[in-house]
Amino acid sequence: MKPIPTVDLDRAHALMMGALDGECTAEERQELDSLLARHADLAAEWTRLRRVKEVTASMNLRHPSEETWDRFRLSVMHRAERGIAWTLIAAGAIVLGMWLFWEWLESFLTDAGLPLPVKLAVTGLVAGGLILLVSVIRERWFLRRRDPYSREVTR
Amino acid sequence: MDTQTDASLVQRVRTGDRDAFGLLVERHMRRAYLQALGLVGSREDALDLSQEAFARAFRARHTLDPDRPFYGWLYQILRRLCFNFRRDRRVRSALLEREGSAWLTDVALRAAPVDPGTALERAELSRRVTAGIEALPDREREVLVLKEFEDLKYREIAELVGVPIGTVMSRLYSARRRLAECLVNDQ
Repeated sequence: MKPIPTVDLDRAHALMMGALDGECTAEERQELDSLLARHADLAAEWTRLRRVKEVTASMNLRHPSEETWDRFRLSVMHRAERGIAWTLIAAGAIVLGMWLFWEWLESFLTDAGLPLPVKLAVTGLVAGGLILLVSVIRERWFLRRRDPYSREVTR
Repeated sequence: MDTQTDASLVQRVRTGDRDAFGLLVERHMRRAYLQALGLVGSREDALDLSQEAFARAFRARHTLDPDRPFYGWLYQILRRLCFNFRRDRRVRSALLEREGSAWLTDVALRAAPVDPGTALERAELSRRVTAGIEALPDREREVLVLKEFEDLKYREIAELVGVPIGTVMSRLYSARRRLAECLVNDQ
């Protein structure tokens, strides 16, 4: 019985892609044709892939109207400005909020008129809130470091 | 005529020159928008994401390197925005609800009039291909869009995406195989 020749599938797939996209040499095309002639399953797959190429080649992305481009540049500059503004506002609000909170906490804890259980309860609430905040920030930081796309954007 | 190279514009942008950045935006906005459209499949979102990519690029202008291609750098910001956008569960469900949104167009159908039967058949094919592309994993979809709709060479795709040519080809193969299954299964 004649043995069935083994095929390097990765090589066959690469040859098919190259041939579909016109990025293969004459030798590679010959190699592909020879593989297709010997393997019916590869030939069937080749037919399916050619059909996909034919369909996608007949389609294109929809272009927007020309007015869209007129607004595009302006919108980008506005966004850039707004981004800087929001960063400054957020930084200012955080510093101000922390100062106000500290002032309030100090006066609250030193208020001799308040009973101890109330002070303890408020201290517990504040401590719990801080732990939650730190936990969320840590989780976000961890996820950001493990983001599969972040490594690719580092240039 | 605009004869300035990207590198010279980038040099000016680094010093805060907004006009130079405006020229870079004008030069690359169409490409950025279309690539975002291919990645997210919604015109409004593609517009929003491509504008946001430019805005972020401007804010990070001090990190720009005039010796590297500007668009390659911008594309890294853009693709990350698009991938994160798609990863957002709420947005994903919204995308499913918006099934059939027309972000692809049949060039052959627009080029020459055909009989109603053929037009209906082509519209159905277009719907299936669109749905098939939307169901592809992000990285396969990205490579397919850059190849089919941007008509880039494997080498150019590899440079933009930051992977070897072999990876581009294997992602492309995988994307096309999934699309082929989708076309067969849906018939």
